[in-house]
Amino acid sequence: MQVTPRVQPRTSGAFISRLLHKDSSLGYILIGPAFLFLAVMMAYPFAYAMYLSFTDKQIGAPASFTGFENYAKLLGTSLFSKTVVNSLVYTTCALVLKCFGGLALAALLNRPFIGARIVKALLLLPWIMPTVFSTMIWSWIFHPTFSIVNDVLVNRLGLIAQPIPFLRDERWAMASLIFVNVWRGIPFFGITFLAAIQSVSTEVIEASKIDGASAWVSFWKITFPAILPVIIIVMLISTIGTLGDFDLPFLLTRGGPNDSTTLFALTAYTLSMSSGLIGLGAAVTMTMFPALILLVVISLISVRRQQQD
Amino acid sequence: MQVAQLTRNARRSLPFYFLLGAVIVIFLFPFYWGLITSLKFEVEIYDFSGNFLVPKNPSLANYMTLFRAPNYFIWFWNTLLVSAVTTAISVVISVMAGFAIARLRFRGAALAGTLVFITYLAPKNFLFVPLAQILKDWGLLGGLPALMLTYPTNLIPFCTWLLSGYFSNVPQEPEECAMVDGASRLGAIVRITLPMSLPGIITAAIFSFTASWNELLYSVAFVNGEQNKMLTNGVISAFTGGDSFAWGPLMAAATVSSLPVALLYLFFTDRFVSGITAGSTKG
Amino acid sequence: MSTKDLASENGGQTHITRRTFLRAGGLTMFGSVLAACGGGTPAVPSGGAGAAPTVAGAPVVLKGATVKFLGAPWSFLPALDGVIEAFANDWATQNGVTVTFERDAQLLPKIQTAIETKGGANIIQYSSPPAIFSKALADVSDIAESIGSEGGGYLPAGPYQMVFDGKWLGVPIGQHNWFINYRQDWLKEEGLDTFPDTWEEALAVGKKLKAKGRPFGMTLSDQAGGDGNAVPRLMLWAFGGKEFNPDGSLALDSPETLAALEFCIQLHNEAGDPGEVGYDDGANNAAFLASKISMTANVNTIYLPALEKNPEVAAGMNHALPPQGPGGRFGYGQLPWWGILNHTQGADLDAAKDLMRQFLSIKNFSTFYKAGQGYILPLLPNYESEPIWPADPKLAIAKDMFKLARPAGYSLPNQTKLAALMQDKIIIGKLFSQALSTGNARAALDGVMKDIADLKLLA
Repeated sequence: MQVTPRVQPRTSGAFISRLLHKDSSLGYILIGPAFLFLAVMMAYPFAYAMYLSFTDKQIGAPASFTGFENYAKLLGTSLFSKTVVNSLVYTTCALVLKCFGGLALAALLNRPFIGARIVKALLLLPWIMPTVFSTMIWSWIFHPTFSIVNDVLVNRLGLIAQPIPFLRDERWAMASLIFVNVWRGIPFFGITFLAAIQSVSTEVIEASKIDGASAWVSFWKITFPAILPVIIIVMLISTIGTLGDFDLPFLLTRGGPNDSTTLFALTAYTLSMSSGLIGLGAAVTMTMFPALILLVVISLISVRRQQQD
Repeated sequence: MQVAQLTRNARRSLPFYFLLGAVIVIFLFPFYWGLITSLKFEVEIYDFSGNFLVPKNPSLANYMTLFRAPNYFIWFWNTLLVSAVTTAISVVISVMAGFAIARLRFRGAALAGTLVFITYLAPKNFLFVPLAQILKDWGLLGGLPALMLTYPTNLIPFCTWLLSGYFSNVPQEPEECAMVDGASRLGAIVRITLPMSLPGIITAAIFSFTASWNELLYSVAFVNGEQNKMLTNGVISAFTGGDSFAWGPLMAAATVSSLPVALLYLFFTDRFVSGITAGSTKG
Repeated sequence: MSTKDLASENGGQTHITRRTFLRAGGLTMFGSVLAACGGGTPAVPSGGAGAAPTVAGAPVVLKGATVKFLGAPWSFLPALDGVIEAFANDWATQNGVTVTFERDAQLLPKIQTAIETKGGANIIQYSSPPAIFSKALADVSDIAESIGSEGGGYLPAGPYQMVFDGKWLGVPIGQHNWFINYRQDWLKEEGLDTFPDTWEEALAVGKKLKAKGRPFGMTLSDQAGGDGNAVPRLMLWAFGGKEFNPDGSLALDSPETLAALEFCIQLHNEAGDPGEVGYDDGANNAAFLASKISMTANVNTIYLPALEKNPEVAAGMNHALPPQGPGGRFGYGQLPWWGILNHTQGADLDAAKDLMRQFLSIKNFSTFYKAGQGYILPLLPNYESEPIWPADPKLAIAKDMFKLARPAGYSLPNQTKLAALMQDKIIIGKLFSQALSTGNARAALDGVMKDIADLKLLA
C-alpha cells in the first residue's frame, strides 16, 4: 500500500488512492462490507420471517398467504401463553440476580490478594465453557436419581427427607434453569464490573472516606454512578442473550415439565423444526419484537445520554 | 514487629479468603464433578458411596470411548475450521466498519453506528427459521459454508460496536504524523493505528472464536451428515441418544472440548476484560 | 469386481445375476455378522424368499444410484447398526450403489430438513407413526405387502401404525416390547418367587421394598421417547383407560384414566423412586443397574449389559409379563419403520426400494432380530419357527410378549395424525408425569386435554 498521495497523475490508481484518502469516500468503502453482510443476512431474513409468519408454510409444502391466522392460532394455545410468561420470568429473575451477584462478586474481588490473576481467570470458566458442555454437567448434577446434590443433602447431611425435584417440578425446573443461567452469567458480570470499578478514580473515593462516608455509602454515591454506563450495557447485552436463550432449555429440560420452561426460541424451534410448521414458528419469533423494540428504545436513550456526558 | 503485623493482616484477611474460597467452590464445583465423573468407569459413575470426591478406580476409558467415536476428530476439526473462518470474516469486516464509525467523518456515520447496535439487538436464535429457508434457496443448507456464512451475522454487530469504542480511544496523532511523513492513509491505518488497537482486535477475535465454538442452534438446524457436525451437536447426538445417556463419555467430552477456549481465555483474560470495558464505556 | 461387470454388461440378465450373487454374498455376510454377535448357526431358508424384482418385467440398473440412510443410532445395541450397515454395504458393493449412513439422536429436525431441502436422506428410520410425515413419504405398499405375505401376514399393529390414507407409508422393521424387569433376589426376601400378577399385589410388595430403600422405578415421564410412551400406556390400559374410542373420538377423559392415574400416584408415593417422573430413556436402566431400584418396565437393554458388566444384577434379576389391572393385561409395542422420502426419484428410488425389499425379507432380516436377542421382535407369524428367539431362559418372555403387545392408540380403526402426534409428543407420558409430580390427577388430565386441543389446532 505504498501510494504517495501528493503526486497525482491522472490515472485510475490515483483516483482510487484519492477515494481511499478522503473521509467521505473511505467511510463508505470501509463500512460497505458490514452493511452489505447485515442487509443480506439479517435485514432480509427478518423481512422473510415476517412474510413467513403470514403464510401457512409447512415443511415440504409451498407457502400460501393466510394473513393473521398464525397469530390467531398462537393466541389460542396454552403453549404460547406459557412461552410468554416463562420468558418474562426467566429473563427478569436471571437479570436481577446476575446484576446483584455481579456487583457482589466485583466488590469481593476489588482488593489486592494472592493469586488474583489466576482466580479471575478461573472464575470466568463458567462463562467461557461452551454452554452445551456445562449444561450437560448440570443435567448430570440435577439427574432425577443420581443427583450428587441430592445425595449430599439427603443421605449425607440428612437436611431433607425427599430429594429435590430439580427438573421434574414446574417451579423447581424454572428455578434450576435460572440458576444455571445466573451461574454462567455472574462471572462475566462480576469481572466486567470489577474492571469498570477499578477504572474509577480512587482519589474521589478516598476523599469521600475522609469526609466520613462509609464504604457502603461511598460505593452507592460515587462508584455506582460512575460504572452505571457499563452496567447498563452489560445488562442490555445479557437481556438479549437471556430472552433469546435456546441452549439451556433445549438441553436441560427440553421445555418441560408441562412446558413450564419453554422459551421463545425453543417454542419456535419445536414448532418449525420438530412439527414442521414453519409459518407458525416464524410467527412466534415475530411476537418477540415489540419487547425488543422497547429494549432498543431504552438502550438508545441511555447511549445518547452517555454521549452527552 | 513485622511478623506480628503480618499475622494481624492475615487474620483480618481470613474472612475474605474464606469467602473467596466459597465463591470459587460454588463456581467451579460443576467442572470438578464433571472431571471426576469422566474418570469413573461404567458402574462406578453411579456409586456415590464413601469419598465421592475421588474416583476409586480412576480410568481413562471414557476418553477412549470419546476418541473412538468414529468422527470425533472430524468434528473437532470442523469446529476449529468454522470458528477460524468465522472469526476472520467477522474481525476483518468489523475492524473496517468500526474504524469508519469511530474515526471518519462522513454523512450517516452516526446513523450507521446506531443501526449496527440495533442489529445486535436481534437475537440470533430468532432468525434461524428464515435463514434455513434462505440457505436452502441458495443451495447451502447442509454443509459447513452454511455455518461460516451465518455465524458472523451476530458477531459483526457486536465486534463493530466493541471496536468502534476502542478505536475512538486510540490517539489520532501517530496516524497523522505517519501521513505527513509520506504514508498513504490506508498505510498509516494498517501500520500505525491497527497495531495500537491490537488489544481491542484480540478481544473481538476471542469473542468471535468462542461464540462460534460454543454455538448450538445453527449447527443443529443448518448442517446435515456425520461429516459436517460441529463438536457441540456431534457430541450430543453421539452420547445422549435413545435408551442410554452416556454420562461418562459426555463428561469426558465436556472436559476435552472446552480446553481450547478455556486456554485461550486463561492467556487473554486481562486483555479481554479491558477490551470489553473500554468498548462499553466509550461506545 | 466381476459381479459388477456382469451386472452392467448384459441388460437382459442383470436381474438374475444380481440376485444370484446376492444370495452368495448374503451367506458370507451372515457368517461374519453372526460371528460378531456371539455365534450361533446361520440358518438361511433354502431357496430363499428372494425378493420380487423392483419393477416387474423391466430390468433395473441400480449401478450409480445413491441411497442415503438417516436414522437414530440403536445406542443401546450398537450391534444392530452394525447389522444394517454390514448388509447394506454388501448389497451396495454388489449393485454398484453408494450407500451412506447418518445417525443422529436429534432425529426429527434432521428429517424435517431433509424433507424441506429434498436432499440429505432417502430412507428414514423413525419410531412414531409415518402419518406425521404423510406429505413427504413415498407409497411403499408394494414392499410392505410382499414382505407381509412372505411372513404370513402382519399382526394388526403393522398396518394400523403404517397405513395412512390407504397407503403404506413405511415398512415396520419389528416392534419393541416392554416387560417387567425385576430383582427376583430381593422379591424372594419378601417371600415372593416371581413378580406379582396384579398391580394391587405389586403395590403391596412395592411398599415393603421401598421401606428397605429398594423402590420401583417406572418411567412415568415425558422425557423419554421410548419408555415415556410405553410405561404410562401399560398403566393406562391395565386400568381400562384408552386414548381413543373406535369411532375416532377422544376417550382419554374417563373415570378409567383417572383410576389409572390415582393408582399410579399411590404407587409412586408409596413404592416408587421419586425421580421416576423425570426419567429419560436411560435413567431407569442406570438406576436398575446400580441396584437403586427393584423394578422397572423396559426392553432387554438392562439385562444384556448387566450380563457383561454387572453379573450380580444379571443373576438377581428376571423378567415378567406386565401385571393385570382391572382392565386386563396389556403389552405395549413400538414399531420402528423404514420409509422412503418422496423426493427420491429414478434409479435412487429403485435402489432404495430394492435395499428395503432385500433387507427386510425373512432370509436376511432374521440376523437383525437375532442380534437384538428380543430387543426388537417381529410382527410376522412366520418368524415363530425361525431361529431368532433368544436362548437365554430369562429372555424367553420375548415369545409371550410378541403377540400381547399393542401399539399406541390401538382402539382406533385407522391411524390418525392426532394419534401419531400424541405419540410423537409423548402426551400420555406427560399426563402421568404431571399427575404424579403434583398429586392431582384431575388437574393433570385437564392440562393434557388442553395440550391435545393445541395439537389439533396446530396440526
